[in-house]
Amino acid sequence: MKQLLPPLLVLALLAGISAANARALAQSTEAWASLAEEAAVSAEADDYDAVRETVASLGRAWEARQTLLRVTVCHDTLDDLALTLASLHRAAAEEDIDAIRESAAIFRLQLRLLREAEAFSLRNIL
Amino acid sequence: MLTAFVRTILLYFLIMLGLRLTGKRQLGELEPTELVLTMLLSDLAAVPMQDFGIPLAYGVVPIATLLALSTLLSYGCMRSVRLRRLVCGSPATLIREGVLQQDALRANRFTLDELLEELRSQGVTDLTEVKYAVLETDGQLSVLRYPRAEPPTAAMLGLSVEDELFLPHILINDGRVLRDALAYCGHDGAWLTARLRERGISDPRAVLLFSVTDAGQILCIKKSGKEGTR
Repeated sequence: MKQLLPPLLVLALLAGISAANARALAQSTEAWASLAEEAAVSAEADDYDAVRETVASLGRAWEARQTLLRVTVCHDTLDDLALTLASLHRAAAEEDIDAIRESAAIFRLQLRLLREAEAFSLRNIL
Repeated sequence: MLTAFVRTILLYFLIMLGLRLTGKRQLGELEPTELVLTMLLSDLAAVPMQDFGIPLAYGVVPIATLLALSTLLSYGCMRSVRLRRLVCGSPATLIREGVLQQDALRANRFTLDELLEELRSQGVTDLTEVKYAVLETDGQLSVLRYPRAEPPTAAMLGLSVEDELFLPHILINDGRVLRDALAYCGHDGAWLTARLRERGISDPRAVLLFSVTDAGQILCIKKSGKEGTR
């Protein structure tokens, strides 16, 4: 029975790491989506200082997770998200409400797709 | 990542099942578990290697999962005959007591031509010479001939034969002296140098192959295609 332990441990470890990664990613994407929405709401209220502050904190949160994301998520998906985030930054700086609205919506949609792709579901497995 | 993990488990067992259903003919020399592992590992390793946009974890997680599954399965097969039969199948006797087992041939989708080809490759041209032919789980055909069709051995002829079979130990391989092998044979560098000098060689690097058997028989082949002295 001792011989069974290493492969079982490897499987348990992989399953654990994968589940933890899915959970961490879900939490992060939800937090970023909230920040993007918050920026859009602030823009609607013409509070561009709040928009810039929110987008800046979104950028910092995004950057802080880059190493983990690059290890666990396909780089093309991350590059698309980074481009949308850059658009949101630019729109916030230019105080362009339409662009803020559009970038925030695209960013949230991309995050939702990422979260769904990494979630443990029958749909994904099949 | 979790999806990749679960998908790997599912695909592993799916391919295993597929190979078991296709039968032993597809296998060649590998057991089903080994073949599946070989097939999957080569592809899994190649994808993140070629596409830098895919995280290494996408290759590492499935590979580690497969290796762990394979270890578990081989351990299970070692412990349980039933599981071993399920995973690897069991040998099929295609010829029993000289009689062709047509049901077994059909069950293993082994044509008569293929059987004859296998027999010919093992030096059998007359089907009646074969007492047993067993299709092993790795796809190989084991052929056991009637003793009357086998070449006689020294024991059958009642001859006393001197045992002259000795394992040669390679001491110089392409100019490199293998110190471990030298020590294993109970010799040292001085002994080797003396044996080389006897053959007019001053430098081991000039030797392609130098071996010695347990009985002390030496084979020395110099480099440049010039065969050395025996």
